[in-house]
Amino acid sequence: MTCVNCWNRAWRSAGSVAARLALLTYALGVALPVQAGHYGPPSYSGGTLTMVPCPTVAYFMQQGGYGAGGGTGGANTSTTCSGQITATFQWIPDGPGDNPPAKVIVKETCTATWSGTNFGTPHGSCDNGLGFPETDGPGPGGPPGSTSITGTSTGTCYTVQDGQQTITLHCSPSAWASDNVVTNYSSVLYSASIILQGAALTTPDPKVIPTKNSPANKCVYNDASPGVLGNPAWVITFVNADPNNYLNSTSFISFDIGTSVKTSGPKTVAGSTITQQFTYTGLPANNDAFGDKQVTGQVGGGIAMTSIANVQVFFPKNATNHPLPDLPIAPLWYNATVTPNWYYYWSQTSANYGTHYYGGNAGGSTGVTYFDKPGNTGFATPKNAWVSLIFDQASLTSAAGTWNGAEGIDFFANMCRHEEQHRLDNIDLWGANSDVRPAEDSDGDRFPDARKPTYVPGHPYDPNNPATYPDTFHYGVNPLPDKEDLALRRQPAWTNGTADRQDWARPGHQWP
Amino acid sequence: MFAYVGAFGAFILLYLVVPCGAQKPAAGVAHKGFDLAQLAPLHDSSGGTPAERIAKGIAFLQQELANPSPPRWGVGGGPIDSGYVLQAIIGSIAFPGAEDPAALRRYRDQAISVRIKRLLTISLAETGAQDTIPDLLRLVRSEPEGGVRYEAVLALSKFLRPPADTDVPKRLRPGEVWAPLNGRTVTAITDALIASLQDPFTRYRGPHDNAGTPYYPIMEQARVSIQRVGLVAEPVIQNDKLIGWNVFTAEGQLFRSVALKRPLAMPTGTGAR
Repeated sequence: MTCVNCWNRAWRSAGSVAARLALLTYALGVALPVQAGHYGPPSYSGGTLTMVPCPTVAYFMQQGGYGAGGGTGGANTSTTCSGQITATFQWIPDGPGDNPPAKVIVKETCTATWSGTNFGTPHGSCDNGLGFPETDGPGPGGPPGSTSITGTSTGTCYTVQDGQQTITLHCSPSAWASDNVVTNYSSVLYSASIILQGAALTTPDPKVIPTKNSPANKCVYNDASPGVLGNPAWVITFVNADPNNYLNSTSFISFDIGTSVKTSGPKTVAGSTITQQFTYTGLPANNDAFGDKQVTGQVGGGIAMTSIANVQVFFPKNATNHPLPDLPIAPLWYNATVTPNWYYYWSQTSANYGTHYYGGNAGGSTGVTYFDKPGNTGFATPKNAWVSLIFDQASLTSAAGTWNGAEGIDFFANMCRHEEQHRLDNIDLWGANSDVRPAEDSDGDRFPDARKPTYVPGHPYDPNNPATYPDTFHYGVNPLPDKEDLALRRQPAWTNGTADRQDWARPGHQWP
Repeated sequence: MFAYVGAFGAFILLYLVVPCGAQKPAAGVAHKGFDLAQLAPLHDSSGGTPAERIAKGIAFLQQELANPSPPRWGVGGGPIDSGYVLQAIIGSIAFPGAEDPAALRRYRDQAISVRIKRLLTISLAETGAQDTIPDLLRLVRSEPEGGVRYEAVLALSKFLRPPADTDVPKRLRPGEVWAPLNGRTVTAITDALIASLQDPFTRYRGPHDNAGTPYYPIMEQARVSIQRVGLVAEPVIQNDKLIGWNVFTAEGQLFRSVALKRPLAMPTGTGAR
């Protein structure tokens, strides 16, 4: 309801013709998105192209946007595009009293590229600063025997921002190529514009690249059985446009997660947004199904917006809701009932090694290798063989001690290799289907007396002493038991961090 | 070499002469504790002559005493603290010491620091030097570091079995004759070991500071070692706590009873093995 006095004040304060037209259409009930004024063209600054050995070049305006590209060739050369680009827009009113709109859509497009030709693997990478991953393909080519690669990170991003007198945007695209003997090339091209009427994907945020220590754009299944992925409700926000008019032309494309069952709810309008809820039920069978995903939001009907956001999907580390919780286990003595998610999924990664079983919670123990036979507390059906068990504490950490303080998936990797070495040692020392023969083991360390002096050339063990050498591995038991010394010095090496990109546990190495 | 700079297609050749390079600034590093891997070269000739390795080991002792390691935890248990590090160094020095006992004795005798002298006495004992027994009998009762006391008990225990040609490190050099201990010395060692049944030095198994998984290495070693003189130690347990030991002769007669100063949790758990 508008009273006469209010109307008069508004009419006087709306100085320009366009503003009065807008007021008039409002008063007449016509919902036309009229805006008096506009933002001028952007001014750009920042960013450099550095070529070694060559002078540094500042980014500059060119056809299609702002940036630079350059290449070098020869040994010890490189080319790097780096630095923050700043784009500044000024509001230009049509007349007095034409204020900036409350909200605007910012459209940013950026392409970062590198290419390299080398005798060997070319070196380089690129990131357009808007959350779009690099994709690699064949490069420009080179002499016979050389390898050529081109990497590109490109895409357009829409975001909703407050309308202000001055709008300042920042973007930090980067590209580099170096130490490629034939050619190095890198380039960046960026452009930005302000749209007064439009829409943007706002959840998940297209400008976020999921990083280790931030929860942004990350989802994790809950602990329920079957597990349900939490919080995947995606949102498109409209500016100076009624979302009801675009409901049919708006769509979300949400990722798949392997065998997890995806269902989608109806699209709903609330205020200036359209939301759609996606539900994923049941964790996938394969570890590869977790990880990097994309959500696409699209609006047609004259707005013509397509926006892509990157998200990551994780499993709850210690829950037991993976699809096959009844893998072979050691019941009773080891108190194991079902395998936890970390054991199930990490066993599918490069961190896994050898033959082992899950042994449940065994107090302070991380792993054990023993001979499973009738009369032992072990498998219900004795295996009559040397068996390695991985216990719950193998998913934790060795702190600052053994294996350079291996933690999480790295600790699991080292434990698998350690127990497998024990298993192979025992098979070699006693036989695949033979337990320890006490008569041959006078010091009771499961290492036959006759083998101890010469089993490792140049590193004799004392047959009358179960712990010959001091601890040189930060194991935590000194003197070090001979069988531990034997396994620690011969177990396959593992480099901590190698499997980080396969670790989709929460908490884990990609989401502590 | 060549270079070009352009706006997506423009191509300018530049000739280049400027080399480039970058250096990482050195970062301040907090004391993370003695790196036990440094001890491995002391165990064999890859680390130099026996005298060089002994000297290196003594330098490690001085370093650890001057700058004690903070406690850490290993996969098999913990803590890996300064006493643990000293114990590992002492044990490591015994390896070159067994190859050149005269050199180790010389270093021990010439040491100005009483602390270093005592630590080297334990190393010397592990090479079979029977004249160290009186010092060991004192050290197992008075040494403040549990890890070092433990190493002294280990060294003392070794005297209760004759040297073998498979000993590592060697306790008998070519041409040497082993003299069996006399009765009074065996009695003194036995008394010291029975006293060590009361030593509450505690360590923990597993990769974390888990007070639910204690074990008592000095007690355990004393229990095992007195079997070599025909005695059997049986734990006395009350309310699931270890409160002492009864020591029996081989014939089953009670030889002695010892009580702990305070009840201890029963040893449990294992690390990776």
